Amino acid sequence: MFAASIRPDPLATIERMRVLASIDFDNPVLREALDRIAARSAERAGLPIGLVTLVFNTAQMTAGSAGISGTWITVAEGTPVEWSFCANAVVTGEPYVISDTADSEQAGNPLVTQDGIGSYAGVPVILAGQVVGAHCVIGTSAHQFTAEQLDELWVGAQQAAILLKEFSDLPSADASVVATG
Amino acid sequence: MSTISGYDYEVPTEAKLVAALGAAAGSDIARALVSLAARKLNKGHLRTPDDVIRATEVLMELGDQLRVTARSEKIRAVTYRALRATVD
Repeated sequence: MFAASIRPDPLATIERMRVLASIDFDNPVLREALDRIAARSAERAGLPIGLVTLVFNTAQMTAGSAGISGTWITVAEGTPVEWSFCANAVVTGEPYVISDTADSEQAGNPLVTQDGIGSYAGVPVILAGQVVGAHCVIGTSAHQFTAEQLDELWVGAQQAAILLKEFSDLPSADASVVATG
Repeated sequence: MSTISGYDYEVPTEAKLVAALGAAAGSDIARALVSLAARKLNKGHLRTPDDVIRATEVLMELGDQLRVTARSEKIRAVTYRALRATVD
């Protein structure tokens, strides 16, 4: 089974799971709003796919998405965590950027070999001090990401975090959102 | 063991669901919860991916962090079913 660099344990901390559990992540109103953020970021980056993910302990959920309709990922509403590019941004708390997946640690990832991901850039989405997911754009070929494109992702991540806060039951004092781009 | 060609992805099972829940709730509680879910589905054990998917939906209703792990495992199980439909 492919697993590039992620070990699942850092994803299962009690503090992070508590924050994830506070989110009404299947709420269709939240999902539609996150879809719009994903679509806007993909459009601004000139890339076909945008996602807002929540990275759980064993899978990532595509809480918001654009450009993946008709794929198995839409049916599953996510992917196993061992294939998740976004999990890298979650574990490190830093942007994760792959300009050319074929020449990277993700080269053996089925999302690359079978589904054709060619490039990826994602930044963490932070809620109540925990990295709950990532906001990313994805290309089907190699792509050099610019600082401006990463800045756009940070803006989208901040907006996603604000939405997640609105759809969580966290006490307001705990629900601060942070973007550290 | 059944895997998806090209993805090296194994079939979801009751044992894997118990293991995932056990990491969050402890193995004894996880076994009890999965057994409870199976009984609610009128099954002695979860024998198919569809059984696992339905059990995760039952477990999600219990809420809190269990809901997160159950949702996570639902994604994994539906991934198997969706890939099986796509690849085969």
